[in-house]
Amino acid sequence: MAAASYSTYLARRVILTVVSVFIIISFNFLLFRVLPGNPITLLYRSPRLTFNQEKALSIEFGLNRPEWVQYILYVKNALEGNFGISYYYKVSVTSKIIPALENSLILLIPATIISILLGIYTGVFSAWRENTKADVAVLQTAMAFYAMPTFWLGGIFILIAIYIGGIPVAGEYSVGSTSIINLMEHMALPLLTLVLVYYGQFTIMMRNSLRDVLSEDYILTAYAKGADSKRILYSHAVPNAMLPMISLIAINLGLMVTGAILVETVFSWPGIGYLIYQSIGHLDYPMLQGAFIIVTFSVVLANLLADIIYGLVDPRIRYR
Amino acid sequence: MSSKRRTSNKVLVVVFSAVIIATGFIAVWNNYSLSVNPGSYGQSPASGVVSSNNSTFIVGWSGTSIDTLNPYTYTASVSDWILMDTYSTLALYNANGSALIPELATSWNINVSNGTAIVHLNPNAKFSNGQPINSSDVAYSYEMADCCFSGLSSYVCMITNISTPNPQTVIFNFTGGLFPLISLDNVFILPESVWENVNVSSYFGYNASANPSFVGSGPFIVSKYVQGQYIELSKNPYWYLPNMEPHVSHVIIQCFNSESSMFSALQSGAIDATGAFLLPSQIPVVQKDSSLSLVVSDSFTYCYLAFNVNPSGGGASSIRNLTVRQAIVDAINDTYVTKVAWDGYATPLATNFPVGDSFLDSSLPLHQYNVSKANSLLNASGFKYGSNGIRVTPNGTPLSYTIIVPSSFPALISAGTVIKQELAQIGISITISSITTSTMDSIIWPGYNQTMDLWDWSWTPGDPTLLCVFTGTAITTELSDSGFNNTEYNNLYSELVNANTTQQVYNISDQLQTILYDQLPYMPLYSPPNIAAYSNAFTNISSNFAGGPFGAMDWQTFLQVEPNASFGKTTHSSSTIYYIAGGVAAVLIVAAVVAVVMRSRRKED
Amino acid sequence: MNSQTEVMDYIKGSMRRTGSGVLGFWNRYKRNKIGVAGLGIIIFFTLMAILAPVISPYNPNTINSSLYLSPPSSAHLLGTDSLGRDLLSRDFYGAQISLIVGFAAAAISVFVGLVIGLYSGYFGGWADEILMRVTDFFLVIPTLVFMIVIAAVIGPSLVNVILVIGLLSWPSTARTIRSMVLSIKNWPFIESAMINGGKSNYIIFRHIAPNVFPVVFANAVMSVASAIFAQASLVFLGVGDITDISWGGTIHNAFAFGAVSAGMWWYVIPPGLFIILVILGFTMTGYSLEEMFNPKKRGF
Repeated sequence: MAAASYSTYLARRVILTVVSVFIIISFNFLLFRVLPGNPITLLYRSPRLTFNQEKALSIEFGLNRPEWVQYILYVKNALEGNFGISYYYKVSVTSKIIPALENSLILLIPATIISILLGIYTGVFSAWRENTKADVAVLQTAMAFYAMPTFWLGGIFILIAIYIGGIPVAGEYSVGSTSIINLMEHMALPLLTLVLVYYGQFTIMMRNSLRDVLSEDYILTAYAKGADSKRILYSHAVPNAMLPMISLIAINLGLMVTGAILVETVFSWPGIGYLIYQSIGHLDYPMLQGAFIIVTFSVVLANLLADIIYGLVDPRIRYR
Repeated sequence: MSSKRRTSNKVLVVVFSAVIIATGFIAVWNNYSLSVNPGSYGQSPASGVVSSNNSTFIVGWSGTSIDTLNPYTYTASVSDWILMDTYSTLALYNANGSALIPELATSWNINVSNGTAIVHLNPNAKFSNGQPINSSDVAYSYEMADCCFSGLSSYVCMITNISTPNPQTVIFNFTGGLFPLISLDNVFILPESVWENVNVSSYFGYNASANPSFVGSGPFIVSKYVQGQYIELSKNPYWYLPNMEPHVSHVIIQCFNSESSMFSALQSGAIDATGAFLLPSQIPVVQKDSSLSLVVSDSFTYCYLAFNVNPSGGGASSIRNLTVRQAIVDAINDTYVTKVAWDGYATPLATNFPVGDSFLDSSLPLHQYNVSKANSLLNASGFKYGSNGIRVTPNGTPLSYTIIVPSSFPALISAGTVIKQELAQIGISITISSITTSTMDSIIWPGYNQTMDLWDWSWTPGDPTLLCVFTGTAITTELSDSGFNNTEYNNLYSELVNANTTQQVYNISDQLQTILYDQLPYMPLYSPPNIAAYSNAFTNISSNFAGGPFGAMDWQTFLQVEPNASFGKTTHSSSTIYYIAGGVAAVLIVAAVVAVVMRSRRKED
Repeated sequence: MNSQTEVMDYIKGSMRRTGSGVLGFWNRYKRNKIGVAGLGIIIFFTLMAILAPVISPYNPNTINSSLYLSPPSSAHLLGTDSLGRDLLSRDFYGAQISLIVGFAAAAISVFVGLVIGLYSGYFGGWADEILMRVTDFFLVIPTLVFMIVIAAVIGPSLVNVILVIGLLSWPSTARTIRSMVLSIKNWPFIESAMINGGKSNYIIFRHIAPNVFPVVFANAVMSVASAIFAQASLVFLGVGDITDISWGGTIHNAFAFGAVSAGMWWYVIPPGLFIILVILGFTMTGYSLEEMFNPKKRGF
């Protein structure tokens, strides 16, 4: 496989991503129109939107123009990161989403990394002992956590935390504090909840992937040659088993955002999931749209990134 | 095999050491940061002398969060609460609404018969930037309050002219009898020099990048605001009334998304009090905790069942028939609904004012619960039972109705569930649909497409303009969810607005309530209790105001609260980190044991 | 990394094996411990749902004004909710909504996924390209966000929740079906049918669909689990119908009435355990079925 094929693969992935981005924006545009009431009444109906803002919004989104012009304006604004003005907060949607996104990432990145590591570790553990009691125990535990409703697990932790006392169960910082310790204290329970509900799927993925690799010919050959089994596992099998994990992880990013919404709601974490939850209560359509676009963009871009990495590390890449 | 085992043991040792070192490091760091940072919450003064220099009072808030700090455009009650203590009004009502207390005004002379009020201002009054408060600021604030975007206009619309003969005197000319009741205490006095430079209709009321960020005229100023999380108020250095000097240096109002998370924060010591409001389930927990005090107060809120009586509205048209409404009201046992919804802490209501409001007409009795009367009413009007046990109108439409109810009001959903069962006894089938308040907005106001809704009104006590909700004009201003439009009522309401004496206002208010009692656009259900709790680390908590000390109606709370010198304050040590470390260690130990056991098993195989 | 021959092999294999009758299938299935356990759980909850009126000690809607959030007692083993309704009975009845939503939504999503997968794989070309891009889009977007927005807007009824979940959960089925169709298309008898000008719909539904059925079945069982999960999440967030008796609704109420912060574990733990168990049951069964029908492709 020469470099040319990788660049073809890359070009294809990039084009597909761009297409996805346009589907997202167009979809949002449509959703905005399908919602009850026409967009102008939606905008004007909000009692909290002042008259000047309404006028500005109406011009900005060209709501008095033909539909296709509106669409082009919408795409242009969306690509510039301008999602309009929040009905509820009366400030630009972007200015609310960016800090919320940062808060979400503070929680999500460690949660993802820890759960992937934990998942890989337990997955290897399980695959290496295939069909033993240890394997079944690890697999069952992983499945149980995978099946656990995120919000319920969070609720159980809140019950326990209140019973013990002194453990923060809401928010990101204590009021006025910005210390990292304070952040970590507030993060402990949401992080634990996320890690536990995420790691199970990685365990199962890793176990299956490694099991497949372990039954491949070259591994069997290595055994036949009498190589140390530990060495085979860590220097041949595990790295190869990690490859399919990359794309599986990328596909599951959307699921993680789902988990984040529930966890942020239960623990009042001021992230984008909590923002979405609150915006539903306020029926703040511009905010919902903006948040939706940002979240979807992030997932699509993460997928592209995973594809690029996957293409780089796996020389046997095949493309559709 | 043995080499494998040794390596993994090595890994375990390394991980354990790392965890232990990290824990130690964090603990040291933690103590260090605590010791150098005494400004964190809840630090009681070192000496027995209660000093105001260094104490912060944190109140949790789980109601609607701060929408804006603009006195003309806010709708959230927490914003009102903040504005009450950051801006002066001419006068303030005392706890039971019986008397006005001077704030910016030192005295006033009101003559209702010729419609003149002469108000003398405090000559020492200053804004928080040190500039004096003049009569021109008062005039400016009252003029802006009458603008189209202003939510305060109903308090000032009767004013015909404002004149300022000198910097300490304002003369109002007005019509009607409402001015002395509602006009002096509801308009916040803003610095004209600041507000004339901003777009008043869209200004947020606080601008972190401006210097100063906030200019107010009350005992506190807004010193920090983190959207959606908290707002910090600090003492106003130029506050001019020594008898209303706050005893704490900072007040923080922290927003929560639920009563549960707010209550957990109170239990963990992260906040000192809870506002808007705890739930009955939490009362026993507070009562058991010796470090907490409980306050259950009358409320400024009432919950109701509204019928869509708008003649041009959608929904089921049979609800516009007074007989049907009368039967529904007769078949609902309000006392029982109230008891079930709030575990006996709420008060059933007969009329459209929150319990304890001076305008509540106490001569109106609760609607009599009488199922057989309800059935005979319906029978007499030809609403026969259909085959499925549901009555039908004379022209064959079944009496099956949907009640929309806000999903964020669990007790109202409970009330709806009870009402559903009670109405089944008279052959009326009910579906409860719980939706967001915004969705309710979008069902009710474009075209009155609901049949019934359960909702609430919160209102400043002692203000009869709540009755405007049932006038014909309230349909266009989106206040009325019943769409009630009755000529007699409308005329009587304009008489109330133009009444010449306060006694007349009370009399007309009673007559209006009687019309509502008979015509039934609403069935008032109950006033929910306002349940709050606070930490005994603070004392001198104000009482007697409707809504309780932390219900966003009491302007005295933050002025009176002070640290409790005799309370042995437990420092909220940050123990979480040790729990985390302990948890991680436990997990690692278990994992190590399991791993070792499994290895040995495997070796035996 | 399924090469076409491999796919063909296992499809043929599963056809042959299932072809030997239900009994033969069951004989093989019962050797799979995880699968049997999962099936047991499913049967348990199905019985719970059907027998709820019989096994419940109380009518789950009977209001008792004197039992506001009462703790467990001999009369009410799991205490009562804020209306004095028996929580144990409500937990039993909760199985009904979960299973109805689970099966109905899974049926919709599998049907949509099947149709899209069949057409996309069979026709290929531009139609395939467009369908697959749309599928990719639905595969990566955070579905719950989307469900919340739509459910919040169209209203909270049970049917709406089923539709929203069903119509947003089909992409993974569509993908799986498509890749299978791609290889089945190369089977000699299908190729000859296509060359001889058989009607496309006839070929798709007569020849191809029966061959993907085993995998569709395994997929459907998995979909039930995710639909139950989605319904519980929506109701918990207050977007679904919280006046129906459902486990998600009970947990929602436990938060809304302060039961969680008041330490009432009996209110919140049982419905959560039921959700976990029923999801586990469907996941384990689906997992085992996939292992049987499709030994090469395991996992989720």
